[in-house]
Amino acid sequence: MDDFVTIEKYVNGQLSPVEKAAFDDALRTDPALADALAFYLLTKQAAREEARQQRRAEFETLRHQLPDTAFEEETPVRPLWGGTSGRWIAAAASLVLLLGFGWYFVRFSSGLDGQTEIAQTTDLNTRVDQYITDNFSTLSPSMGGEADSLQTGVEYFNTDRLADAGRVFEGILQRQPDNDTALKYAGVVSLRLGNYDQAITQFRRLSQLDLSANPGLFYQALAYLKRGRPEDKREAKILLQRVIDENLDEKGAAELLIEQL
Amino acid sequence: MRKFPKHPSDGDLIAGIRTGGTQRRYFENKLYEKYAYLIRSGTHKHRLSEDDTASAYSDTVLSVIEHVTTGRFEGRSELKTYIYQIFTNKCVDLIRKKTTNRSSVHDALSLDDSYAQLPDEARSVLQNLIAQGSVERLQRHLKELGDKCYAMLMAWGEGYSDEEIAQQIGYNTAAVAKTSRLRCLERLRAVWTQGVD
Repeated sequence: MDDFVTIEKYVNGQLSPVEKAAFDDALRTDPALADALAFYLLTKQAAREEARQQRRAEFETLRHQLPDTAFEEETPVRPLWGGTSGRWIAAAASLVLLLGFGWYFVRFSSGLDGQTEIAQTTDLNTRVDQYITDNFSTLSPSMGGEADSLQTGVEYFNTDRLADAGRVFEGILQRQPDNDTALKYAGVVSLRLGNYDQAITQFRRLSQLDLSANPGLFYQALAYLKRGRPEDKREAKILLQRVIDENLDEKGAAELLIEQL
Repeated sequence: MRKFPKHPSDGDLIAGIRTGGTQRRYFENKLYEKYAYLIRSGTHKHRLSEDDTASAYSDTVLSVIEHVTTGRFEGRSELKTYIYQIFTNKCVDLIRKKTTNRSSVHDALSLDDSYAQLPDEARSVLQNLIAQGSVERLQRHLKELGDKCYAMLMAWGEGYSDEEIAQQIGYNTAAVAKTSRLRCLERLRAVWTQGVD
């Protein structure tokens, strides 16, 4: 293994000039060393190629999971017709649409169950987004052993450098896995970045910490609602009910959300 | 009400990939998703099948990830422009291959430019090994090493640091990951040498 330790240093440019010159000399006179170096480089290349093939296959799976809209470029909306005659056509089309909607509502005014459900879901999403906007747009630092690092993370977060902020909070958690502020903030970053699986895990860990005020369960419910898988609403409802029953942090907000579930 | 953006910003994508660790894969997938519309536009523009264009796009994203992690992408151009340029080149390469009936021929393994700096002795051994089709054989042996060694050497091939490999595998320190990884390399070499003999 010693060969590979030195070879790796050589390849990574970590040998001193004297050591490198000695290694170059040894390569000329020792065919076994040249073989070992060639093997090392070829294996790295083979591993790289193998890893690329795997990632290609994973991307292919991802492609098939994406909605059709993912393959359409987002472009600014432009008016369809610019001229005066176009405006007349647009006005006429709007009138037809209005008449059509009017007829639809008169005709089906008795069967509104589906519409009510849609309206409820929309209202729920609005409330969740409103909570996140109100509470997770900026962070405020707390005092603690890692105050400097936390402050750095908070500054990144508040200037929209979310991934950098996430890296800082993860770094703190590696040193202090139970740092509740770092855990909370790491979860908020994941939530803001749309990484809901990770947010759920982080908020679950937060909820398991013994704190005088712990919003972990409520935040976990938010992450479930944002993720929006078929079973997520049910999970969120159970968590929100616990927040209410056990009189936990964010009980008032939980009561508002559970009304919509 | 402020809406959440559909995709992370390019700055967040680049920082997330460079951060490495468990977040890297997440941001790599987000990068793939963000510019996936190139597949459809490339299909129309270059008159390639959607599968061919998707393959060129996957290769593009993998190259961009590599350029981001190694620092070759310096951010002088926008990520969108950068990815578009590489994607266009890959599509043109694909068209060339198809029109010259080379699509069934496997590409020869191209070595990194830095390997050209090797002393002649090592370079000629390396070139002989490549000519003998050793890469495919090594890939086969890699899979026979066991899950842990395979995962470690794959991560190493993808450019993950020993610290990141330690996190992925569950080792306490980067030093332990490095020692284990080099032991795996030694085991692979033993299997390899047996095969040669």
